[in-house]
Amino acid sequence: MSSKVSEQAVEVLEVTREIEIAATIDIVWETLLENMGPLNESPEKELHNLTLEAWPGGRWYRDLGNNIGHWWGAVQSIKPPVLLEMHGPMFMSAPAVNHVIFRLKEDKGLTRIEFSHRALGLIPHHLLDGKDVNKGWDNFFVNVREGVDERLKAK
Amino acid sequence: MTTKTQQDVQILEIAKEIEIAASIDIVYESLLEQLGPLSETPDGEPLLMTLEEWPGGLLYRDLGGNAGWCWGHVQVIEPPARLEIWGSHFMSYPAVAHFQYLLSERDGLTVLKFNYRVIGMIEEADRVNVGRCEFMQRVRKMAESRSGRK
Repeated sequence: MSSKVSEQAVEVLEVTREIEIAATIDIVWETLLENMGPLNESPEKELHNLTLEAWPGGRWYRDLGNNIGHWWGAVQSIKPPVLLEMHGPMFMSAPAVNHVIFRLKEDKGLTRIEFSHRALGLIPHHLLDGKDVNKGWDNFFVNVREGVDERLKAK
Repeated sequence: MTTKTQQDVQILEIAKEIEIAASIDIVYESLLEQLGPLSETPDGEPLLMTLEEWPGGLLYRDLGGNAGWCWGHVQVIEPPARLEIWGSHFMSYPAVAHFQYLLSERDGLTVLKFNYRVIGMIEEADRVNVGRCEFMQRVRKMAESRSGRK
């Protein structure tokens, strides 16, 4: 067995975005939830099989069936259609805390999303440069935009 | 009053690997029981733990009447190869712990790897106490006695 105690500065990861989408806040909110849940996928277009229980303390997890899966976190706050916050380990198999926040505001039919994903702790080294995490969120917001467009076309 | 300071944080890391003369299914089953209802202190006192075996399930000390301690959540559960728990463990201060159990079969034995890491304001006493855990040996003993191989 190896056991050690050390002291070091904490590692931090931060991804932020400001997105504007030409649609009402309700349509953007609905699309956002879908993409945090069943439509969430990797940049390689593989579904994550995510479920988001849309209530305070609800689980956000990859459901692989038969009680197998990966828990990414809990709903910290939810105020449809203006605020969603998640808190948990996300995809980090490590003592690290992640916080994800979406704030939505509508002005004359244009909805702005202010987003940040911040993590603190022993962040796995392969994620520390932020490349993969940025790639994941880029793909996420492309999908949200496309999802909103599809909804608008369907109306 | 709010006091804001900046300081380095403590990190505790424990890694252990043992071989067990039992099948991976028996070892996994024993692991769950030792984390749950059979969990006990090094002095043999029951901890009254419950482990909810699903993603996001709770690992908690259930003292009845909604009294207890939440130690964490099931982060990853992939029977019988992988189990991860994330949460505060027993630490009553700002810290986050991550437990990882990885099981694999090798030459008719099951290899159980344990990685435990904590980051935060870890109190002095706990830096020692966590390292004394006899948990792995209890899992081995139970699994081997169940399989009748030792």
